[in-house]
Amino acid sequence: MEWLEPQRDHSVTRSLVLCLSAGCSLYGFSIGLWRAPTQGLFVAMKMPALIALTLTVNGLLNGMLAVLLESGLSFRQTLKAQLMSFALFGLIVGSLSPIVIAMVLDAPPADSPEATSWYPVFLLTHTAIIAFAGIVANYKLLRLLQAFSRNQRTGWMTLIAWLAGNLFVGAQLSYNLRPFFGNPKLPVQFLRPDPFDGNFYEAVWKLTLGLFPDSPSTTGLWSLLIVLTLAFMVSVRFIVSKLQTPNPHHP
Amino acid sequence: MNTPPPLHTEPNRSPFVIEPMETPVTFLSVIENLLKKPGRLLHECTQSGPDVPWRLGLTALACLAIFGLLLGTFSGGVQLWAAPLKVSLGMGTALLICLPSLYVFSALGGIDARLGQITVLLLLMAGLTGLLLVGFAPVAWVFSQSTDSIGFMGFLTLTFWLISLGFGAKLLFKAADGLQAGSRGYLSLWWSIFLVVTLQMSTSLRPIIGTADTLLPTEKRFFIEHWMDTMSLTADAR
Repeated sequence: MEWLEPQRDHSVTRSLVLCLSAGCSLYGFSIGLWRAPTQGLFVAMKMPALIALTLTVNGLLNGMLAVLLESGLSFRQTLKAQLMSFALFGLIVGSLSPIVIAMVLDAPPADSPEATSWYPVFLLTHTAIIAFAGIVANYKLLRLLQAFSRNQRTGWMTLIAWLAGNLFVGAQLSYNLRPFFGNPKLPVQFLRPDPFDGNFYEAVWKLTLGLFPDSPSTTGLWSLLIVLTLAFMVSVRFIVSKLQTPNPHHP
Repeated sequence: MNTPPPLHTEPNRSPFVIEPMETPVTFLSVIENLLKKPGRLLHECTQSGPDVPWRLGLTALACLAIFGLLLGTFSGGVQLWAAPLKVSLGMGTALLICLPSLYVFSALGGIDARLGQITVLLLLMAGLTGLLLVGFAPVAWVFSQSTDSIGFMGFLTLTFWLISLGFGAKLLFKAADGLQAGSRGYLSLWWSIFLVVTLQMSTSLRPIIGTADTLLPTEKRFFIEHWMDTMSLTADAR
């Protein structure tokens, strides 16, 4: 964990930023490539930008949470730890990009009629890659937090707090920076003409309402949302209480 | 063979140590100690002049005003100055009217402290709440630029408010432990009352998000009733 020490030079930070940028750019290119090579280039620029913006918007909050949750990390160390996690994410997705690019080259063009059957394949592939890289990166971050704070529970609490904030803001920023995948019926663009019109969560809400067209009111959906939120909170509470139970195998 | 030491499963609970500050009193050192060593601020407040309480109070007001400004960008226009004013003055009023009850409740909870010390506890809580709200401000700004839904912005602001006030309460309870409080029950009850006061304040000073014909409301309402109506209007607008 020496690389987290404040007196270390900036070479570590530079290396982390380089890994993050290169890996995410390559993966971004593979995401947009199916729509068009230009779209690939656009997404190659937007993927690292998305992560940088998420870290910037949440930087102050994450630093404060790290201090308040007693992780032992300073503001600068918080940024470095998160950069490490995102750099690892970038390395994993970047290393899998050649496979995705090969898939794209093997697939019919996105605007052709045969592309319909390929769409779910790409969607599943990207979901699996992002989920795998995300789980590994966050697991490593958790281990780092636990080792640094010398406390399991503090590590978990800090990770959950950071993750919740980053996912919440990241989802909205990705909505603002759309398109990534690129709709074949829409032109290739860096940003949509109205990037700040609407938000991710309202879009999800509208889609959910669309699944229940016969519903007389939104009361049922509100109830469902409240039940799901409560279930999530109970689960988190359960995990935390489990972590507080002393492990009989440890002296 | 070297084996790493086992990880602790009990939470890290650093005690609230009331000790002197190591650095001169500046706004920056007050903010740093508020986050890391709030006990030092309490020590300074009780041992030296009003430097720290003033700085704490101003920090809290400034942070609340910044958060209010970011909320004001949702509607723009008059709200750019009205929202910061309402948020900071509303919180200031809530703190003032809840101070006597905090003094009484903390005495009931076994804390042997003077009114000045209790005021500092309140300022510590307000300062930390304000700092966290500033941390949330960039997030609030991103959403204020992306949505037209007052219901959504209201829900988001309420969530940020509850989280920040929750951390403020945690600090208050730790400080109470540091002052040898016998029980947290009375303080928990006081915090619930304070929370309701701040929520009602947001309704009494409406609109903070969105616009209206008048700067202050012409109709008196309870906050739950107001929220229900706002949510219904948001749902109907869809």
